[in-house]
Amino acid sequence: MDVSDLLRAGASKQKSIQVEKGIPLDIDIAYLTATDPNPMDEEEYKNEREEYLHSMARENAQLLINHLFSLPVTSSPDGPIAQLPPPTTSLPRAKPLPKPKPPTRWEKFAAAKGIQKKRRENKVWDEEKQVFRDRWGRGGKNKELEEQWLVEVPQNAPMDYDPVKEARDAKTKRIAKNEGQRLKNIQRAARAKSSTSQLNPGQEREKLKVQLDRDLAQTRVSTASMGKFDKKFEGEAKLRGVKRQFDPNEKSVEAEKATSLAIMSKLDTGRPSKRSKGDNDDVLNVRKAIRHESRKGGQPRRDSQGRVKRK
Amino acid sequence: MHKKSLFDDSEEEGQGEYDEGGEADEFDIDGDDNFERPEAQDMDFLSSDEEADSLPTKPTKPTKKPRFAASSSDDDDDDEEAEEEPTTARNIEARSRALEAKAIAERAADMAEAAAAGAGEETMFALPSAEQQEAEASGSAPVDVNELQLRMRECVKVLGDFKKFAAPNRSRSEYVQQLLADIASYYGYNAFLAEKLFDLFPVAEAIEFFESNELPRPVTIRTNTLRTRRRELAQALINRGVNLEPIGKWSKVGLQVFESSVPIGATPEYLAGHYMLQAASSFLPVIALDPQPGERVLDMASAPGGKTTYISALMQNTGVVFANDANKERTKGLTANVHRLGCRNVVVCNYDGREFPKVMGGFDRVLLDAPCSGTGVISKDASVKQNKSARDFTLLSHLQKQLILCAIDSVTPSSSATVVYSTCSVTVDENESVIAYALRKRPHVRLVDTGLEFGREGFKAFRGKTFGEEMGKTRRFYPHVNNMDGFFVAKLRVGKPGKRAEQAREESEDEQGGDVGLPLEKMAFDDEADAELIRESKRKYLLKHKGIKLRPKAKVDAALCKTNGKDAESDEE
Amino acid sequence: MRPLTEEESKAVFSKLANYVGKNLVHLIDRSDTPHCFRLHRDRVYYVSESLMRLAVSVARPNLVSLGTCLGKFSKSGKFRLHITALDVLGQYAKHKVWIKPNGEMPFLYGNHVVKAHLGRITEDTPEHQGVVVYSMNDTPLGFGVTARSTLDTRKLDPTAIVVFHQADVGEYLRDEDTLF
Repeated sequence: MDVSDLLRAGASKQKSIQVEKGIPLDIDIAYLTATDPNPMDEEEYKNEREEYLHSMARENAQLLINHLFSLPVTSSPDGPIAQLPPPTTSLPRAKPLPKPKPPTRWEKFAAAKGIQKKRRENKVWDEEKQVFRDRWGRGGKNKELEEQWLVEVPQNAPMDYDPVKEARDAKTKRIAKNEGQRLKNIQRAARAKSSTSQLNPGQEREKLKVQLDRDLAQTRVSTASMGKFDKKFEGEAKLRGVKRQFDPNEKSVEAEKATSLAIMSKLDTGRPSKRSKGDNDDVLNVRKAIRHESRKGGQPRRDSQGRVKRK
Repeated sequence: MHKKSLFDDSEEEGQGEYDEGGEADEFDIDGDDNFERPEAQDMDFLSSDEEADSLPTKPTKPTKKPRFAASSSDDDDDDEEAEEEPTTARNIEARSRALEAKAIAERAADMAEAAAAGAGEETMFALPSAEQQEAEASGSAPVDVNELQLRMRECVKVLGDFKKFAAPNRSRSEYVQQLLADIASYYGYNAFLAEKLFDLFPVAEAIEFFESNELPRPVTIRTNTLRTRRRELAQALINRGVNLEPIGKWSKVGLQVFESSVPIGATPEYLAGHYMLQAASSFLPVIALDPQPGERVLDMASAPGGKTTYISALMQNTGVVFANDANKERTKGLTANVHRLGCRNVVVCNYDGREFPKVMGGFDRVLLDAPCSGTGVISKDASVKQNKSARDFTLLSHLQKQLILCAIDSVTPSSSATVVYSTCSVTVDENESVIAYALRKRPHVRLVDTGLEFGREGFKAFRGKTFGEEMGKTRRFYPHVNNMDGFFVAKLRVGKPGKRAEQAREESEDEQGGDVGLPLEKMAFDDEADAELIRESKRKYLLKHKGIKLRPKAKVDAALCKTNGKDAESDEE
Repeated sequence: MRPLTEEESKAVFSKLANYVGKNLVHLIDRSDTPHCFRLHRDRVYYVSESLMRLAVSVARPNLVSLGTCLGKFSKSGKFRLHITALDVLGQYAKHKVWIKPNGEMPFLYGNHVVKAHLGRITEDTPEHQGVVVYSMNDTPLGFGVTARSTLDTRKLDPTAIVVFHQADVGEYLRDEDTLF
């Protein structure tokens, strides 16, 4: 049976897979995207909009699918597979570009001095062994001093001089210093970020001071006794906003008397003031008594050499 | 009536003085070129022997607004001259010479008449006509001071023995009205106050009272016994050139200052707190209060602290004195005085006195020197004469009544619980009325003797109000009698509420009279009526409890009316 | 009204001790009635216990004064004795100065005591010592601080200041508004 007629009849019902376009489409098959740069037929669009759009969509889709089918195909157990090429369209970023980091202290200095950034190679040449070695890390060059089997001891070194420890300490110190610098840079950056343009350095300083005071006040009352028994410094600022606690008005007078007396005795044991030197509160005023006695006796006073003093 | 006879005694002298006054006036008129009127003469004619020693200082002459001397031409002789046309400022210049001569002649005539009056005791005086009075009141025909004086004198004489001296067809009230109007204009009182004060005394004494209000009271000081003794203080002050002597037998701490070469309020002794400048009258309430050492005493209105410090001194700095004053500014001076006089047992506080039993109670004695109109101290503060109205008196006595109840409530009832009420006012509605009110409202309180052996008794009745015999235990002091500020002192003893109340009620039932004391019904429980009420409420409660709706109220009432006590049960069924 | 804190007590006691020395004990530990120190509106009062307990009933804004006022704390926390403390100081004073009658009024007007007005002085008074000033008939007039010791005073000329004025009873009139 010849089905070609039937086929033809079917084919005549279906649209052709061949599509003619004035300007070929831009197809980025990786995104399965086709962009039609052809101008629209205005007349047709106005007269039968739906039909026109339909046909255009079909044609463009047909072109895209044609392009897809033209890709090299490999067979697989799941059927033929086409490998999509890498995309040609560059898409815009979802997020804005990151702001440039505030320069570190060194970067600022380098920019000012015109120092170019130099890439530091990770490997360094070892003269002795005639090989490249890691600058740091396991077996790194920076551990050279620590790992030497023989070390020259300086002339004036103390008895317990340990060159290995010395070298290790120097290294940790360097690391610590660097870490400190890094943190400072971060802090500085954060500060610059928080106060972009509002505050001048003076205000900045004031704000810091206030913050510091607040922190200090916080720590002062953060003891079990709310800071009551802590040592006070001379001229230490009085804590503000701290609720004062007073003794009850009607406590036992005996207890009050006792505390008063205690305070009083404390006053006395404190530095004996110059003016209170003369009047020790004994019953007997010694100086007066001596003078009185000496006058009564009528004897002339003698000085250290035993000479009679004339009045 | 004593006063009246006193007046009669001095009448002859009065006439004599009047003559002298007349001469003086004549002399003044002669030498008068600038038309100012002569200075008013003092109405000294009433001064008795009693008075002479109690008024040591020479009376000062009240100064009057200068008016035109020419108006003296319408001097009120009993002749027809009252009709003479008033002299104006314009024509006065021209007429002055003529008038002078005329005035001299008139004076001579006056003198002759006065002499005749003295000898013959005839009525020479007639009240001015109604038109004249009106003219005076409106100020169109101002009256000469001398004439005023004369008229007042005559009025007093007439009122003293109305039958003998009054003109026929003139009523007593007319004379009184005239006298009041004259007092008001002569001494510068407003009409209301003049009448109020006038009513307190017999006619002759009233004039004495007004007269003494023009004189200053002697300066007195009180020795602070916490710091010194009177003898030592007197010696120290005499050394400073102060002339003084003890105030009287009644006070062991008072000194009267006659003259001083140094300011008496700034001597080292004063600053060291050896004495207090204090009016003699303000000793009295404290003497009446008689505080004992170790007691708890309240002084409700204490500024400037004269009485408080006296109390403290009497208590020898033991116990507690609460010195309260409503005025914050005045508490400063009070505190200063308390500290200066070394009173260590004083707590100064600043409350409205009416808050007091709430702040604290339990006092042994309370002194209430109530805020008052100050009609007793007019000599100190003459503004009282004009600025007190009926409304002021109503408000003040209302406040005083509130305060005295608060004072009574602040005391713990006991055999020595004392409230002393004093004012520096002489009016009845600030004094006896307040006491009567307190006695009525607090039946457990009774009046006791003040312990002051001088001063007049309080009014037992006044103008239709009866205060009862008890009121004789209060004391009044007058400037013209005691030569101290006008003052009132009453001492109340606060007994236990229960017992005393019944006793008082019985007493008051005995002496019901006047408008004092509400009719007190016998209050007791009526068991029968109560039983019925109890039953009814029980029934209601039960029904409610069971959830039965009650009959409407009217119905129940009707039912209750119908049924008597015993049928109630049947009704319930 | 409240008891003094330790700081405040120290300030008060050291000021008082300048005048009464060891006698301060007698103020605190009295043999007759127990007394205490109370602070009310920056002022320090020396009150008997019974008085204080009664005064507790008075609300803070309404309480004006109680017992004896010793002095007041300044805003900067310094304690200053008032003339009202004269009774207490006079009773226990260690060092005293008597001034002649012609010197009374100048002192009461707030002037320092010059040597010409000096009647008597406690022997052995050191310089810068708190002293109570009396008139010749033993009336306390105020207190001050010696400028010189007793011995040095003898050599001074009559117009030289011997006692610096601190407070006098004239303040009752002069400073009535600010004192209370």
